[in-house]
Amino acid sequence: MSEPPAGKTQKSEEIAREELKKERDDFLKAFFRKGVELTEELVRERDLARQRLLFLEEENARLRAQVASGDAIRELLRKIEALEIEKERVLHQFQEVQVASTRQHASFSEIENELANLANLYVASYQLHASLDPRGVLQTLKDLLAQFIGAEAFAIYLQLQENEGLIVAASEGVSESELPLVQPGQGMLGEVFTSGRAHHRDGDPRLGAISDPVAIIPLRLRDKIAGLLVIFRTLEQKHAFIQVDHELLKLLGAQAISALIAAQLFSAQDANQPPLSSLSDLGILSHGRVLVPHR
Amino acid sequence: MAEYSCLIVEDSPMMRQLLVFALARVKSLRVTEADDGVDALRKLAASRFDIIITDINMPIMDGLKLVKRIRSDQVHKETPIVIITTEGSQEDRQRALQLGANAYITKPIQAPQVIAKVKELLKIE
Repeated sequence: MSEPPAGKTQKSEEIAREELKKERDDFLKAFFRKGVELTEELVRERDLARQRLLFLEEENARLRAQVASGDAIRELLRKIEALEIEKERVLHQFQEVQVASTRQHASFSEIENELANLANLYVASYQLHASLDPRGVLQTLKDLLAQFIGAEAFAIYLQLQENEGLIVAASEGVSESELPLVQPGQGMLGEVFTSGRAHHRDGDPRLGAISDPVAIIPLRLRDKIAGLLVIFRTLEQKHAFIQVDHELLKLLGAQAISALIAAQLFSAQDANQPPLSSLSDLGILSHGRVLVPHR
Repeated sequence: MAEYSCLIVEDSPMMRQLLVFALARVKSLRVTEADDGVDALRKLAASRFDIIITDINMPIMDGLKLVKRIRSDQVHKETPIVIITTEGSQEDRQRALQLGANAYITKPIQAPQVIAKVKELLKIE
């Protein structure tokens, strides 16, 4: 076998070397391309993972907020429930206070009325005994009946002598000629005079009449009856007698005659004598001594 | 507490006493009494009053004349006036209101009504 010429061999080696170099370059290119691809893949994977992480973090935050808001709602509901209970309690207390306040207001009004009534009685008693003239006492009686009681037509009867009929001492709103004569035990007035029991007519006091008085009050002097106070009719605005009217009529029944007698005794007294001088004659003063020397 | 002064003009001592008793319930009120219209004018000339309560029927000078005189008085022309009348005397009441009275009370007088009227006109709680 013959050896290839040297030039030819050298050429073949160069070709082989070129091929080898080419193969190496291809390998390296493929290797680096794969490396790039792998790196790119890794970068993509990392970006996806990061996005996923972000998503999950957001989701987590959202869920946490949801849980927190659920707790807040539950807390709010608990507070609302507690407030509802508190509201009920406060409302109950308020109602109790309102009831107490209404009761106090009613009690206050009642006391105010009582005070007004007592003032009426005080003024009536004061005025009745203030006059030292029998005419003044009768006038006071008339004023009290008209202005305090609201009587429009009335008469005051007095018995001047034992076992005799009663005379009209004063009247208002009626003509004296219309007034009935009163004999003890006879007729409505006479029966009240004899029994000593006051008469109060039921119904509207404005609609009374001389034949049907709305009130007949015996005027007492200790255990005796000395006269009558008769109301025939009340003023238009006086629809009914109230408690204080009855009290006032009782007061007049008990005090009118003694006021008249006191005024009569005073007016009958010697005007030149001191008003209390006759007390020394009655033997009621202790030892009859003069304690303050007269100057 | 502000103090108010009230003049009561009433010829009946009984009614005067009753009004004074009633108005004693109003703590800040100082009450002066006059027997009739002439006495009232004398007292109005000497002092200033925040409210005047007057009866209509009085001797010497009645309530209507008094209301007229008060309304022509520079000091008291704006002072509230309450007149006391009977239910039947509607003409007098109307006349008094026309002359410048501010309110009226009818007899028989009830203390709570008097107090309420005075408090209302003086704007006292």
